[in-house]
Amino acid sequence: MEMQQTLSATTNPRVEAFKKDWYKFSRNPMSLLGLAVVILVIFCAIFADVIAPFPEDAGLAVYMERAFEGPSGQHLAGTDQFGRDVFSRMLIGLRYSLGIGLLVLALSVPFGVILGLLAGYFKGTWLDILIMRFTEIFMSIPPLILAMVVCTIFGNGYLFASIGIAVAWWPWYTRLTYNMVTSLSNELFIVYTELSGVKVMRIILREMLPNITSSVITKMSLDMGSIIITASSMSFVGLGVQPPTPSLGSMVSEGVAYLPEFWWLTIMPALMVVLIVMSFNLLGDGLTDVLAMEEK
Amino acid sequence: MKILKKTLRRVLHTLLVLLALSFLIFSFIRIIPGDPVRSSMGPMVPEETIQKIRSELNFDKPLPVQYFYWIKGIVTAGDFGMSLFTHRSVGEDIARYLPRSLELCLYSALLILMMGVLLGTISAVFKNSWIDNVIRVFTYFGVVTPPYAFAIFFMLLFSYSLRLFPIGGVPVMPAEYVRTGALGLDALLAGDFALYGKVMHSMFLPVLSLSIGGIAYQTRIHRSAMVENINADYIAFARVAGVGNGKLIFKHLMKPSFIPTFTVYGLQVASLLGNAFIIEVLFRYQGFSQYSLSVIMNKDPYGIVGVTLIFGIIFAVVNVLIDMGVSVLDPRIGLRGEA
Repeated sequence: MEMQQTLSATTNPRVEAFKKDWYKFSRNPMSLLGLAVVILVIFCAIFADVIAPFPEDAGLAVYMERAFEGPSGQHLAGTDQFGRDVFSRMLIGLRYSLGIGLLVLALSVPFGVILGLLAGYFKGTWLDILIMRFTEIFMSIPPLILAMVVCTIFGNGYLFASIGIAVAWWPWYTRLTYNMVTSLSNELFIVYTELSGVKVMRIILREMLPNITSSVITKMSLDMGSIIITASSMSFVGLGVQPPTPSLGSMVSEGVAYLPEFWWLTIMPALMVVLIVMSFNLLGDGLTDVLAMEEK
Repeated sequence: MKILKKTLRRVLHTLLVLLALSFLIFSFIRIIPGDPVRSSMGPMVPEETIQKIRSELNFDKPLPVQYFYWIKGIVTAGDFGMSLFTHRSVGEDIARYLPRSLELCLYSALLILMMGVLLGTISAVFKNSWIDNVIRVFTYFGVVTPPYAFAIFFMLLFSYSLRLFPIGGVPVMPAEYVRTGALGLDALLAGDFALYGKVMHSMFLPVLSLSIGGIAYQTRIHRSAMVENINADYIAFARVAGVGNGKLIFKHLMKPSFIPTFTVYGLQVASLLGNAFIIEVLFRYQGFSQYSLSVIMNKDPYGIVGVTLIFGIIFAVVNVLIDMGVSVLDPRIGLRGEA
């Protein structure tokens, strides 16, 4: 027994911590399900053109002879007004939805977190006031509206839709980081590091940043769903990925004209959005639980 | 008095933020590639006319000067500038469309509060029973489903299959009825209850689709707040002291649970108007959100600044109201922003 204990004590503490967290996470079957679907969704997005039974249908293909066919073994989600395979288009749309989600997070999280770290560490100084007032301005209108304004002004398309959403999204990360950093500042280990003369940037990056990472990652997982809903709402009105390239939102809005007879044109891509958002939310909830247990 | 002073300071602070917001959007507008006046008039209009309109709209002046004129117009005459898209004053357009949408959002806000608190309370009181599980599954789907998906689902179910509600559109308002612009309110003011019923009938699905995500989220928050308080010492004490179940739930549990509920509720209500645009498009409601969408899509400079400012004002007003509400509920918290 003792032998084993010394053995495990010599293994990497990070690996141990991860094993512990994984154990907590894996106890909830819903979290595991979320993780599994997220992995599946990412897999489908990467290999969309390989998995898609009719990859050429993502473009301007027209097959009038098989327009408006209902879901069947050959066309899992039916065909649209041009006879294109809806399932194939959904997979390509999934790729763009996920891509926008990742791009928005990649743009907004580093920016938001860095500003939050600076404002939080220099709380009470002009830097804090400047950053937090600036943040407030961006938080004062609904994210969707701000994203749409930025997207139309700077140029419609995939990239500018992502930039638009990112412009509306970073303040929430600044706010989160700011709140965490200001409460961390009073912790003894930070005070001692400061007293021992460690440089400011080092304190922020090496002492504070690691302590907020897990919360930020959890928020990212939960936000992935909201960002995808926002992006699909924008593509619903034609902002974002441009036709003929499919996006889940534009597929739904185009399908509305063919309700109720050809319901699969709207229902199938809408279900896809629900599936993606749900899986990221389940994953995020699982991560939140692990975090909450750690705090206790 | 203290609350009044704090509120005043809060309002002042908010005004500054809104001013900064409008300046920011203004600067965005100025860097729109291409000439908004030219693109709204088409290529056939002679250059002189374009120049004349540009100078009328102050587009030929430097950004700070243009901004100053714009603010001056709002403060002195309530004039938000002219829309290049509808060729009417933006203020007029807003006055025409905003009341409709506010009415939609008001019903939605009421529904969210009522249903959220009701379902949350049921779920918490009967924790882990079948009804709790049903409600929790509902809240899960409610949170992850985009509002337009609900709208389409309800259309298919209630309009196309069951034929209970119209597929879209609103009843035509006789011109002499139009006073506020809000459909239901105008019908009521005119004393035409049959028309009011019709309006409510056509608004039912839009309101439901707009609310369902909010109801789900609100239920979750209210449930967890109540569950947390059920285990608190003061509840155990009240129980021992012989407080009846009904009084326990409605008086001792409900009030403290309202603090988190209310805070989240504020955010929900503030974002309703922004979320309404797809609902308005789908149900052909022709309200403010749909108007905002058209000015944004048409890159209408004064239109965009005008609608974003309105969104900002509504966001701010709701937040101030919620803060006041929370500070009334919980005397320990002062108003936010009193640094």
